[in-house]
Amino acid sequence: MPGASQLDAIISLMAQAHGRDLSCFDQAFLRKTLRHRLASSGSPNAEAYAQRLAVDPQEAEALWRALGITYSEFFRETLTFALLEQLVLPGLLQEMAELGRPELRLWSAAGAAGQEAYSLAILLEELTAGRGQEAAFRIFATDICPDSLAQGQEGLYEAQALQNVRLRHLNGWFTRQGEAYRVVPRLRERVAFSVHDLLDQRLASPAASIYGDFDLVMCSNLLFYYRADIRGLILDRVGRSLRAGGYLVTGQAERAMVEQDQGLRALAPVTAVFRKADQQG
Amino acid sequence: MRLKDLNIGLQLRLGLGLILVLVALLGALAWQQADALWQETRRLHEHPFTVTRAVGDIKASVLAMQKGMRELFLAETDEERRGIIQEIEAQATEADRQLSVVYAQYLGPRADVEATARALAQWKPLREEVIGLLREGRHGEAASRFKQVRAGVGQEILERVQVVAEFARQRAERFYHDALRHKEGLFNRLGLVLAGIILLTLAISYLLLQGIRGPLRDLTGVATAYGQGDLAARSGHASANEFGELALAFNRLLDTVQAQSRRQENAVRLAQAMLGQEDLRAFCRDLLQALLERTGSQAGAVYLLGAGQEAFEHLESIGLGAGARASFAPGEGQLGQAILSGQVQVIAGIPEDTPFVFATAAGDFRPRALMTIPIMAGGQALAAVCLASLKGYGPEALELVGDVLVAMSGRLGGVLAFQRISELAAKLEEQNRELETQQRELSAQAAELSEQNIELEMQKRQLDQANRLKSSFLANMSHELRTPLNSVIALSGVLERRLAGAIPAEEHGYLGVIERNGKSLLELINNLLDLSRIEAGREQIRPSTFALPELVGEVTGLIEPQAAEKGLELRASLPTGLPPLYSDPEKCRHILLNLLANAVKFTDAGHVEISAACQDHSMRVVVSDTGIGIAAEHLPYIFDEFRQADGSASRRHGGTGLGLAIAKKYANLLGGRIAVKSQPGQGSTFTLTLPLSLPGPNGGQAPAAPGRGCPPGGQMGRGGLAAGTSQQGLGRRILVVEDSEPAIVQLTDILAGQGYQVAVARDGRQALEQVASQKPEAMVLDLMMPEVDGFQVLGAIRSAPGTANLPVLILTAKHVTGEELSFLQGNNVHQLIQKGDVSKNQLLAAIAGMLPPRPGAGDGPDLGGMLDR
Ligand SMILES: C[S@@+](CC[C@H](N)C(=O)[O-])C[C@H]1O[C@@H](n2cnc3c(N)ncnc32)[C@H](O)[C@@H]1O
Repeated sequence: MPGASQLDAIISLMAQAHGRDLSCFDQAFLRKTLRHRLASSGSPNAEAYAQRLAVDPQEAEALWRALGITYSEFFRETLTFALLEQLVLPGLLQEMAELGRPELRLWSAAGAAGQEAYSLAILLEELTAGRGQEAAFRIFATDICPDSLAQGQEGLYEAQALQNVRLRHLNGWFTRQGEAYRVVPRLRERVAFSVHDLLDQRLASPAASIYGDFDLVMCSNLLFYYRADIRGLILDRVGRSLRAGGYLVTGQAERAMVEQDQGLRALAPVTAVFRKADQQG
Repeated sequence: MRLKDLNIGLQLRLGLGLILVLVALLGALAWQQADALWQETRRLHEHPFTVTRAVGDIKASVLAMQKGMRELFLAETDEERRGIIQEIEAQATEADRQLSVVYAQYLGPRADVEATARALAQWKPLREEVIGLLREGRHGEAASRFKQVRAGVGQEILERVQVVAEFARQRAERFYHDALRHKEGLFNRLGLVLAGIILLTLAISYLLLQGIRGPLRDLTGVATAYGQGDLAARSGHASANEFGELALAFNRLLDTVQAQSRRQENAVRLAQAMLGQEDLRAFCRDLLQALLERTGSQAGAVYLLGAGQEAFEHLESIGLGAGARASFAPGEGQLGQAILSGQVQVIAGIPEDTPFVFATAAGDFRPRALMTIPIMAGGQALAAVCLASLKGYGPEALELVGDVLVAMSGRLGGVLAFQRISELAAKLEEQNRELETQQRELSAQAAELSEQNIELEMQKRQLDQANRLKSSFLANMSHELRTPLNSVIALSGVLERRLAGAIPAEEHGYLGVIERNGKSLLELINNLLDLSRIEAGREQIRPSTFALPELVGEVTGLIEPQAAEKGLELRASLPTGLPPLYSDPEKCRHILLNLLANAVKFTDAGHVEISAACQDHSMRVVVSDTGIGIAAEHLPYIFDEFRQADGSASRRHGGTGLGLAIAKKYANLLGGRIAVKSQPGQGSTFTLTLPLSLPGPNGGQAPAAPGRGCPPGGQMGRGGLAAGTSQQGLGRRILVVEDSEPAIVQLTDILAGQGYQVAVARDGRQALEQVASQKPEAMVLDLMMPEVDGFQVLGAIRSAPGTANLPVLILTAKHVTGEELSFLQGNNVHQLIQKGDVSKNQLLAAIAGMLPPRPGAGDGPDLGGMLDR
């Protein structure tokens, strides 16, 4: 495993030779990824690997790609989605009706190929089904990986990503295409995909959403890849994009990271669903 | 026709025939010459020889007769004489016969023969005279006569005969010489003819040989050269005969063999190219390169059936324009159809609008022909290779592709499988790494969790208990509970009335306490039942139109006694001209009652005030008190069930703590809300906002809402102090210039929600038209638009006199450069806002802020009011 000094050397090397900033990543994650690249590239040790990195732009690219993990699933964390389905989303819908807000605004930040966004869309569609009119919600799905976004736009997934999808949902919202499944067009229309870098300091919300004001933001399985201070910055910005009383949903594993945030309160002790303080009561 | 072109069989037949003819000629010649010789010999034989022999015979006969004459002299007897005479006669006859022979055959002068005949004829009478003399016995005479005759006639005969013989001899001599000459001529001629024949035969065989050996040698040479690797070696022999055909056939054979071996070589090269790569893209690139080179194509592309199996997606191409990168469905267009057929196909007649064009520096070219090669697996085209050629495809290209198709399909299938496996492996690895990272976080949390666990368990036990209590409590709140309570209350009322004055006042007072407590108990029960009804979603809304002041009067009448009891002033300040409400009056009453009761409950001194105001489409009712207030930390939970600010307060003030929860739930049911503001020790303000008209269940507005919206004069004070975000833009005309549909929807939604009149222009040109035709009061402008962009729009607006001062707010996702920024500043934009870097309220405030004061309103928009957070 690369030592601390080697890690630093590789970070500065990547920045200087290839213009890639690795310093924002969590060290343990960086180590793990480096170890993996080291093995795949057949370098005997960290030094040799660093030397190779310096001269081989392809390996640099491979390393960079390996750091951008885009793995995702539909309804990935069952508990979280159960909570969303049973509590959070119905509450939001009711609140929307009460307050006369025109629509719910949701954002899947770093949502990879839209698995998360489509899961939300399915739940909302079903919760609002039978109301006669078109359900009023708007989901923004963003990521920094354009390939993932393109896949999301196309709505085509391998069966593996759908293992948590209930049979009823599978039948209702997907069509089978060979080995793969495609999200039905109706659902695809509900999700707007765009590129958004959560590290971008200028923007708190994706440009496509213009002004944020989200009722719910999902930002899961992303924070732990980043250094603690970066996480803080991301959370800060995501928090700003929420309306008062809006919800932030993270991965179970990231619960502890958000719990320290002042403006956010966990919905229940073990969940990764947080609520922004609501000044109005 | 040349000899060379003659059929070999014919040549041979002709040659041999010629030789045969010559031999026959020779035979005939020899025959004829031999015959001539024979004629010569016969003439020799017939004339001189016959004459000579006859002359000899005549001589012999003459001599024999002379001898006989002499013997006659010597004969003694007649007998003897007769005998001799007979002999002489015979000889004479013989001599005559011979003479006639000579006569017939003699070639010399006839006179010679006639002289001989005459001499012979003269001799006969002389001889008979002698014989007669003898018979008469006159020997002497006879002897002398004999001597005379012999010397005369005898001699003459002999001489004459000699002449004839001499002539015949000479003639024979001449004949011999003639024959000799003849023989020599014959020999010469024969020799000549023979020599001629030999020469001719030689020539013919040379020619024949030449005709056979030449092409043979040529073919052998070619075969040897080809065998030694000169693949271009071909027979140059050309003729119309069998050898010509043979040479042609041979060349054709070589061509076929060469084509075959070239094909084989091509196939081998292709196979090599295919074996070189494992990576899908690299493999396809190599494959294409090799295919282009070997099929005479100039461009090509590989398409892969997408994961959805509904379109072939471009994977790799060489030499093609961007059009070839578009995906196409199986069966779609020329390509799709050709691939669907499952066969290698050549498409000629490429239409004008084909996406398949060669992209070159000199421009795009349309190919003459395309070749589509479906890569099949399990009866389905997995992928497709398309090649394009400027010259078209010959059969060899098709054959080559046919040769390698199986290998290609297999190999591509293999590479695809490899690719899938590597992708899968990569994905697994990624998943693993993420799981590990997650795992690490989780285990860190787990440690923390185990600490929390005990606490949690405690919490949980408590919660469970409370829940159990609550549910059993609710379960018991049934009509059965209310019925006895009702009778207690009713009966205590009866008693109170009947016993007034009959029992001591203090005890009578207890009856009042019983009744009051009974009532509050009933209220609690009713509240709880309400709550559970609401929660069960069984609460029904019964809307009707009613006047708020009446309701307020009713409610304050109800609360008044409690307030009076605590010495509080209960004020109601309702402006005149409030519009009627269309809502559920029962629920409204409930809400107001609860709010007022709550206010009275927590106020020990001072006053409780209820006021109302109308704002656009909603009614605001404010209940304020001068009570104990609510601590900030309790504010968020003030509307939760069973919660009062804190336990102690609840204990001191009595009540169930359900009132506010129910009030809020009812307000929500009616499409409104309740907000609270409070300062501990200074009192609280609850604001109920209700829509003037209850939104109907099907989204429509209720029927009886006369004059929706507030009458102009009915506004409270200065236009809604805490109006916050609502209705600041009533009727003002805003033009939104934006090309993204979702952005348009979002902007029109929030702007229309504020009462703005929103017009939308979807590009720069429309924007300019609409600015001219609709004269908006302000404009929200996006910068990035196709064709005429925001900068151009801004420039055009600013240079037109009517719009030079139109307020413009730039709302864009574009990261503006310094140069662009100075352009914007130079063109007087109100504000530049980055999409995604603004909150809803900021955006609304900015838009409101750029609007000029409403004509006639006198003062500008109240920014402070809008930035309420
Ligand atoms: C592991 S996936 C998680 C996907 C999904 N949220 C889930 O929980 O299944 C992390 C995603 O975050 C994206 N990502 C990483 N860094 C990002 C950044 N700075 N801004 C936006 N997206 C980012 C990656 O591209 C990837 O798609």
